[in-house]
Amino acid sequence: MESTSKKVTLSSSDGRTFEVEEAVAFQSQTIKHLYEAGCTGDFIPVPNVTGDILSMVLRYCEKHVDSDTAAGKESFYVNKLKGWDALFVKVDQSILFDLILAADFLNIKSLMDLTCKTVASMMKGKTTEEIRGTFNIKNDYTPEAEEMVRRENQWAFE
Amino acid sequence: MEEEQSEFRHWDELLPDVLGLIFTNLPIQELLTVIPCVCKSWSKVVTGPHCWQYIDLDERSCRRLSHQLDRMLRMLITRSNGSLRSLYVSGLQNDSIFSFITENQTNCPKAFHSHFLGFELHKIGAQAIEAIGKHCEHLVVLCRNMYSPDSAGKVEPEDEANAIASTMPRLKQLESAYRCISTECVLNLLSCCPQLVHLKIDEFLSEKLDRKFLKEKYPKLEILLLYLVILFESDESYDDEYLDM
Repeated sequence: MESTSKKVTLSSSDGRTFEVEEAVAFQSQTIKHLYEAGCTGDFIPVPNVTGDILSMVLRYCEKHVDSDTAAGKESFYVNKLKGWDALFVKVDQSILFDLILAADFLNIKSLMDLTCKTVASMMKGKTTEEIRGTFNIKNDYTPEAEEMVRRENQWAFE
Repeated sequence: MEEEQSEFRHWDELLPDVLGLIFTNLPIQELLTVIPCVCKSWSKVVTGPHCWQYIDLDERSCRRLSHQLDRMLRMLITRSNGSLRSLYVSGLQNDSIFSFITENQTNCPKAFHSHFLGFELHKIGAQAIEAIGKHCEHLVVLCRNMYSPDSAGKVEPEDEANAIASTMPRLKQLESAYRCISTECVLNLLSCCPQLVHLKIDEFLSEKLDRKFLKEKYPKLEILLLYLVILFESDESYDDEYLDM
């Protein structure tokens, strides 16, 4: 990337600012639309995302900025990027959760797919009880209600 | 994983559409039998439309479900509540599900945007294709890879292709295996579906097709040949071997 490309400044919910190239920031459809709608003051506010998470998201966007170009579609780069992605989502569950919320708010489809797939892989092959344990979810069913839900779709797989 | 206690998040309170995006990555059996038992909010997501915009029953699930397949599809299509965008299913025994889909979509006009419909089916006639086309006017991909013992190898009356031509004007990709297709037929399709650029047809059954002529007349058209082995024997052998192609 040449250093002459235009930059935008983003500001996180806790007031940190990030200066990034347009192409990086515009992977977020939300930011792109805000920008196109004339929200071009000193900085673009990203009110729902903390600085820590926003810096991670921007790191992801920087890495993926060329993925739509012809060179980025070559299998060598695709595989390299896949490896990078796999490491990127090796984070604590709480960070993964915040990344999902950020990707949803900022509307970055590829990051959304990546994080959702990662969470799904943490559920795959687990029992109900194990999933509750992994994600710290309280069982809000009565034993009778849970049994009813359990039996509801069983017919299809017997 | 020990430190997550201090920083734990409410996974049960995520927005339904976000949970839907997560859940759709799971195999259908887990999605229907494990996830709903976790908590009420997750169960609600699985019952609602957010998990069922893209119904993709892979061949293994279809085979396992076999006799329950129709019932299962009806349940899932009802859950999608008109937001169905894509359906992939194989091994249906009749075409009654298509009238069900189209009825379901009629109640929910939003779902007319179904842009992809892939299915494999033993018997489906021109009528069913017409019904699908009429209700899914935005359909751009049709994969019609159906082996039917009584029609394989024969030159079919062209009403099916005509039904496609007259009801699916936005079609960009048509995949049609186990059918003979003539040059006139393709010409009719191309004149009615101006956006059609990908055509996948059966290698063995389309020997008469004048590909060179078509190539010259429609340079943008991409004709791909499917190399499928047709098994004329018993239904059982068909199930296993053909599906691996």
